[in-house]
Amino acid sequence: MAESDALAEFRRTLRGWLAGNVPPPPPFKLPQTFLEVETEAQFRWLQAWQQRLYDAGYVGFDVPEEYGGRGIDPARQAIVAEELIEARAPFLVNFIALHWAGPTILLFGTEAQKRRLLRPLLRADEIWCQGFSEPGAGSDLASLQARAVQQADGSWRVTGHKVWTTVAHFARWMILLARTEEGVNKYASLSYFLCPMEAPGVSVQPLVKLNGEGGFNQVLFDDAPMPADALLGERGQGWNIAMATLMFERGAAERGGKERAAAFFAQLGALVAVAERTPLGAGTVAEDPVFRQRVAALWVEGQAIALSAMRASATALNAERPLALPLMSKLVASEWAQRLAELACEMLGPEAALSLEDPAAPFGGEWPRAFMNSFGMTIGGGTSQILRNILGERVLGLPKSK
Amino acid sequence: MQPRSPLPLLPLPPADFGYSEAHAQIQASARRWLAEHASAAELRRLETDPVGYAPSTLPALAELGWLELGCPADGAMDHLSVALLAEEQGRRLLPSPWASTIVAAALLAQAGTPEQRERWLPPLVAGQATLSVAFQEPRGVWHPEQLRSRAVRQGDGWQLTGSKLAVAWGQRADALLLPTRSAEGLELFVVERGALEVVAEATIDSTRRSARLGFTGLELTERERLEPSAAGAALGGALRLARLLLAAELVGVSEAVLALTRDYACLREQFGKPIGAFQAVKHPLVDVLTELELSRSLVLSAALACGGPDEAGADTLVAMARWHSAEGALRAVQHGVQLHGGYGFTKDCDVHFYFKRALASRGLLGTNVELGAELARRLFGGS
Repeated sequence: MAESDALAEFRRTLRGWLAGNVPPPPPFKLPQTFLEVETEAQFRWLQAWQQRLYDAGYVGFDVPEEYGGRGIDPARQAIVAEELIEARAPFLVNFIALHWAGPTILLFGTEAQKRRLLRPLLRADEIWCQGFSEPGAGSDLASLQARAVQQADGSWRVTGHKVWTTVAHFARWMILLARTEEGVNKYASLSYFLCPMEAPGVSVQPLVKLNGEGGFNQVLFDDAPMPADALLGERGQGWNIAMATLMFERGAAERGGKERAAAFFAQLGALVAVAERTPLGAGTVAEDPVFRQRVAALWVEGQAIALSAMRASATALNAERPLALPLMSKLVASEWAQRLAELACEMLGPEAALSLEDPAAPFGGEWPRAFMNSFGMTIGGGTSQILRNILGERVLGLPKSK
Repeated sequence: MQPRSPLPLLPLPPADFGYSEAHAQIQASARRWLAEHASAAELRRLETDPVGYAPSTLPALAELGWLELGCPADGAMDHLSVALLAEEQGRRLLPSPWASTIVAAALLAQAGTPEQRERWLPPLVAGQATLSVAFQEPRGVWHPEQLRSRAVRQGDGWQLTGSKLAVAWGQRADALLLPTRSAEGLELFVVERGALEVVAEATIDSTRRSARLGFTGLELTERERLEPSAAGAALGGALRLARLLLAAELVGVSEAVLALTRDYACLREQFGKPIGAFQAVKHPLVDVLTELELSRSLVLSAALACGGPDEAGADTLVAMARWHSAEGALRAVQHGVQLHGGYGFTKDCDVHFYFKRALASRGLLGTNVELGAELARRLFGGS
């Protein structure tokens, strides 16, 4: 369907702005996604990009203007997402804030919380991290042990241990899930906090990922104070709010199908480029019949995933099983991206063993790095195994596994 | 980041996937009729029936409007409706030459002479005649350029020699459409069944019968020849439609097996609980679900593209739909048998019908390896 004139004009203007404003690559290695921002230099560079994009008026089409957004406008939101991919612009470093914390605050926050927090979140002036998982509470999230105790003056003190905390080392705020209630079941005893990270008693320690990169952390709370208004929603409502956040995180809430399609095109195009540029025998990988079959299979599967993301909003067509497409999108997309990175490594043969540090590494060593990083997506935000449980129980109506 | 190669741009569906109230009604009425008339008991009864489908089926489908949708008077087929019906038919494995007949009708409508169209299309839309296109030849040949069946000019007429196999419902069809090659190129003929040597194949899938055809020095006249100028495009279109219908049907097969196996996993108890509570059972069922939903997106997009201007794009999407649904259906029926356990290994369990359909459909009109090679050529060029 044709875009309205106003939207087409918006897209043209944005495209022109991006052509003049997407920065050239910095002199240092950039992370592939928000999951692996390691150094101060990387962070500042990426923060400056989000600030510039915000100041130009292109961030926050899902936030009303009174909170610093551009007003709710899904069409423009989708156009920005597509054009950023198309222009190969850097990712937005405050990803957790934009996609998980922000929508949750908008849904459950008080007027004061929304006024205080959303604008600096959109502009990346204040970075957000997420404190859900713990060493003993991963897939079984509701068994978490961090505890927040309310004081006589209404403020809180929190003690506990959070892990896999992406960008905690740059974060000003954390969305924190902690136990507050006694004598009720494990779900009803949780509360959801907007926790300031600079409080005394909060310490951030880096974790090193399997590929040697940093970017995520563990966070220790030792009787750390939080003000009374750190509570989001009601006491004991934490599990429900956390589920809303996880829905946002898994992209179950409306995410543009065209955005998914654009990401798919970029990834598959990169794979095709590897095949065409990687020598094999007298020719290239792209001439090898077995590799061609495997690329064709990924093409079909990726096309199906992109089309399914579009179909998710054709609600009349999905009446028989309305939850299937939203609940499966993260599962199938993350596993597809993992297979794609694996195949690229396979194409590189022995040179897939070369790391970022070796100047001879093909494609700068990005593919083994991408393959290792792909597990962040199949584990984070609900492992593939947990998502299969959810689909089996909520969509197929199979009996619970626990 | 990586340098990027341009990918072929494929036609994208509209936001609502073109799905209207009328489509919802077609689907609902098909489902109602099938629930009443197509059952596993009927499939069992027909297993030993020499014809393989009930004589009342085609007239009933004609009354429901299935044949008119598949063979529209103005030639403008709504591929989405037809794909939705094919999926419903696949869910129940309704034995009927509906799909093979509408493919033949599309070919005849596009390349038939006025006399041929007049002779065959009206009875066909009324459910009183069936046709079938003999696409497939021995040695895995189906591509129009590679056909080995020959047509040679003989005075005013033609002489045909060749053989065909896996011709859907060929043993009952009133006439067969024969793609052949002559010195000039592709030639299509419409031939009444009695003129050919027709042998019913003994197939594993009793719900869709097929035949082998032989013809040696078969004398035909110009009256049986379709318009040569339209032959190539018409055969290409028929091939595309046949693949689309196969793909849609296979999504229906996956749906049916998923429903059967899901129900069984909720009922069957071991170790004191329904086996569906075990993740070793639950997760494969979810994989069947996700694969079939992905297949469905391809099938619907392919159907929408078939009515559009970009024929190469439509061909690619149809090939993708056919590839993906065949993979998914084969996986679905394997899990279906396995997860039903010992019961799944018997003919008492309905899954075997679907297993056979998935296996029998897989090699038709190009194996997945051929389709993979075809798709790779669009991505990379070359052979």
